Order: sequence, then C-alpha cells, then structure tokens
Amino acid sequence: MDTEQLSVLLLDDDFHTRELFKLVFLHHSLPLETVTTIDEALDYLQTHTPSVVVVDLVMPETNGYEAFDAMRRLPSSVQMRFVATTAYHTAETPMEVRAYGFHGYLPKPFSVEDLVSELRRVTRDTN
Amino acid sequence: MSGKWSHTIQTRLRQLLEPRASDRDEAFRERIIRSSTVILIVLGTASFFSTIFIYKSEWGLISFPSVHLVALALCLGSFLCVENGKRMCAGWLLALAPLMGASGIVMLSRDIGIASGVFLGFATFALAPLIATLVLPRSSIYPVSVVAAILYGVSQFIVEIGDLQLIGVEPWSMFISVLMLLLVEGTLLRQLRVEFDSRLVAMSESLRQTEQAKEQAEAARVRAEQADKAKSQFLANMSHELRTPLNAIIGYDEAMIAGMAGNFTPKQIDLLKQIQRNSRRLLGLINDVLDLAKVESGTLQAVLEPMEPHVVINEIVDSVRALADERGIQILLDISEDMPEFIISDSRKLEQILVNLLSNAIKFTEAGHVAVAAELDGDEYWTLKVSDTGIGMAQDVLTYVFEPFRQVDGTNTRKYKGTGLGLAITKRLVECLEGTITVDSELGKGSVFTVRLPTMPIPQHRKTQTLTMVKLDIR
Repeated sequence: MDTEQLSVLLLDDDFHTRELFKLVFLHHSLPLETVTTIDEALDYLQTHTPSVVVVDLVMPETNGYEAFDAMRRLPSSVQMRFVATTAYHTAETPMEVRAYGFHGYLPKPFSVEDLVSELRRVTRDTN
Repeated sequence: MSGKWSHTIQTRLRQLLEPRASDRDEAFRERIIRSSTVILIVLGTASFFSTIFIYKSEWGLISFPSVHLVALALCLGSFLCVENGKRMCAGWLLALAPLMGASGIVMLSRDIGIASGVFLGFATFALAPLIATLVLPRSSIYPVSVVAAILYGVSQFIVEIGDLQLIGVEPWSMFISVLMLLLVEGTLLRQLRVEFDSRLVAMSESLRQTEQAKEQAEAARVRAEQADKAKSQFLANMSHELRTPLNAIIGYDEAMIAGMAGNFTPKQIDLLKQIQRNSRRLLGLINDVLDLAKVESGTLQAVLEPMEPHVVINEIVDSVRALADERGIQILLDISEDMPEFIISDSRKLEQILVNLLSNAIKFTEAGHVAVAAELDGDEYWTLKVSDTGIGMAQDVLTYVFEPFRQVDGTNTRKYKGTGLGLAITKRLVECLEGTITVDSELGKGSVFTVRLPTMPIPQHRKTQTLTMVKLDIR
C-alpha cells in the first residue's frame, strides 16, 4: 500500500473482520484502531483524526447509518473518508450507500486485494 | 283412491305451471303466461257454461257462446305457444284474449240490451295492458293500452244500444265475475311486486358479495405483501449470516497466503489455496441460491440504460478469457455489422447472462472452441448466441435444462462442478429483460444457447403504470 498517511478506524461488531484488518494493517505497518460500538468510535475520534473510517452497516446495537451520522457531525470529519461495509449485500446497496454520503463501499466477503484497492481509491480521491 | 287422484292432479298442475326457461326474465314471463292462461281458461269455461246453461244464450256467428269460444281458443293457443317455447307469441295471444272477449261481451250486451254484461267491461279491458306489462316487451305496453282504450271506448260508448229496454240478468249478478277478474289482476300485480322485491334483494346481496370479495382480495393482497416482505427480510438475513463467516475464512486464508501471518511451506500454501478456491466456490453457490430466491420472489428488477453492445460484450468475453485459456479453449467472438451502436438493456444482468452461458460452455467443453455471436433479429430484437464444441446434451434433457437443480446428468455433477442453478438463473434474468432463451444441442457435438432480447425494452415501472390506468378505466 503506497499510503504514507493512511490511518484507519474500523467500527465493526464482527470479531473476525477486526482481526483480518489487524493482520493486513500489521503486515503493511499502518496505524489501525478497531472499535465495536459507536461510543468507542466517537471517543476515539475526540483525540484522533484517521484518514479513513470503515463502518459496518449492520450491528446489533446501532446501525451503521446512524453511526455515520454521529461521526459526520464532528468538525474533524471533513478530513475523513467514510467507507461502508456489510454482508447484507444486494444489488441496490452500493447505490444506497453512495447516496447516503459514504465515499466507498466494501461488500463482505472481501478479499485483501478488494480492501486495499478500495482504501487506496477513497484516499486517492481526497487528493 | 281419491288421495292418489288429487296427488296426481297436483303433480300434473305443478308440471303445467312450472316454467321451462332457465333465464330469470324468461322464466318469470313464462310463469305468468302459464298461470294466467290456466286461470283464464278455467274462468272462461265456467262463464261459457253459465252462458249456455244458466242464461240460455242463443248460438250464432256473433253471440255470447261464440265470443267465449274465441277467447278460450286464444288462451289455449297462448298456452300451446308457451309449451313450444314461443313465449313472445304466447304473450300477444294472451293480451288479445281479454280484448276480444271484453269487446264482444260488451257490444253484445248493449246490442241485445242485457244490462249486466256492460259492467264486466272495464275490469276485463284492464287485463290487456296488465298482461302486456308482465309478459311483453316494454315497448308494447303503450300500444296495447291504446288499443284497449279504443276498443273500450268504441264498445262502451259508440256502439248504439239496440233495445232501450234493458232486459236479462240483474246487474248485481255480475258481482262474482268482476270480483274474480279483479282478484286475478290483483294476483298478477302482486306477482310483479314479488318479482321486483326479490330482484332488489338479489341485487343488494350481489352488491354485498362484491364488496366482501373486494375486501377479501384486499386482505389477501396485504397478506401476500407481508409474506413477500418477510421473505425478502429472510433472504437478506440469510445472506448476511452466510457471508459473515465466509468473510473470515476467505480473508484469513488470503492473509496467510500473502504471508501476513508468518511463513508457510509450499505444501501448506498449496492447501491454503485449495481452501481459497473452495471458499470462493461456496460463496458463488450462496450467491447463486440467493439470486435464484430473489428472482423467484420477483424482486429482480431490470435497471435499463443505453449501452454499447460492442463494448459491453467485448468486456464480458475478455473477463472469462483467462478461464478459457486455462482449459486450452479458444473463444471466438463475432458481433455482426448490423448490431446497433446503442441498445437499451441492463448491463449487469447482461453480464450475468453471458458469463453464465460462457462459463457453462467452457466447463463442458474439453477441446475445441466456444463461440459468441451477436446480431440483429428484425427491427426490435437482437440475438446473442453462445455455442460450443463440448459434450452436448441429449434431446430429452433439453426440456428441463432451465429448471433449477437439474444438471443434465446425475453422474455429471461430480465431474462438472456447479449447483445446476446457473441456467435457471440465466433464464429468469433473460425474462427480466423481456427476452427468451432457447437451446439446441446434440450429444457429443456441442450446444447452442440463443438469447433473444429486445433492443428497446419497455421499462417495468411504465408498464405497471399502464396496468393501473387500465384497472382504473374498468372501474
């Protein structure tokens, strides 16, 4: 990954998705924070400004859209890119996600390659 | 003995009065004609005999007995007509009978100077328009009434009274006859009212039933909608639950292959790749089943947009070229000159259709080539042909190749991987694009799948709009 300042916050209730992210980010020596609830995410964002926030759309307590809304209200959010991920994938989901304001979309299951290329794409779009 | 007789007579009488017509209107008319003729014949016969034996009228060409006979003949004729199914003719004869009878009796009474006969006049004349109302078409009521009025006027006021000295039977002796006539008329009118009321009841009942049916249909529609929603929700949940663990398997496996979790021996890497391939197959299978379920539940919708068939088909063919190369099979592509530059279609569905057909063709072809051909078919359609030089199929299996879970041969399932859902999904996708798919094949020689699609399909939502409009029009 040719990404100097790529740092990611992952909000996902699925343990394995978080572990997989950790494996990939550790391998590329890139900073990653994983959280499971929206409160944890908002706490983290008080002190940090990751370049990309990956949000799982379907979680037991909150849905990803609400989480995205809450994070979007933070002043620092203008510097962040938001990527939605979900296993609830239908043909309409990519369009819905875009329409809602997410910058990227990562349907599960994704390959490491998918993950890398989507993160690269959204960060490249910023510049 | 007498009980048996009366029973026979009753049965016979019921047979005489029972209408044969099945149509409600016709049956009503027939019942009136039958009962009226029977009553009039009975009354007329009694009157005839009293004329001969009680009043001892003289016989002549125009005399009380002969007038009675004419009226009786008309009634009998009416009855015979109705027996032969000629209801209209019977109605006219029946209306004519009281007119003839009344005219004759009144004129004769005046001519001879019998006071009582005159009193019978009005009640008898009134029978004619009443019968017309009950058994003849509506348009005949006025003419019959006018004729009755004229005959009444002529016989009652214009024909001169022959002998000023009124003779014969006292006026009050007509009391019973007039009473009987008025009773008959009352019965007929009551019959009319009964029919009218029962039709009103039937009408409101049928209105109520229609309303009820409408409510039931609406309830059924709501239930079906809810069931559909529940099904879609179930599919979405299923999809989520199945894909989440697969995400972990595929992701970890990939990470291990990429060396993100330490180094593995070549043998281990090979096994990890096997896991990868099989997980992906499982994912494809899950997607297929979910796709089919989605197609079956009717939630599949075409996203129609203009596209360049040359570009799209080329891209799709390129995407499966690697698969063909791996098996040493050539893909020949021929897009005819006459293909329009732009067509309206759903590129994602078109891709799914072509990829399904191509991967099938490649899968079932050991050696040789797979050919893709696109050409215009008439003005409004184009065809996409995928042919191969593969194992082919026998004629008898061609009928069910598009049915879900039917791979051509049970034994093939092990040799050729797949769910047997591909063609079923392909067919639904083609139908979603308003097209048709056909197959031609010969065992050992190969197969040809032909997809025929409209160049400009009508968007689904516009179609449903027209349907709703049609429905509204009907209302």
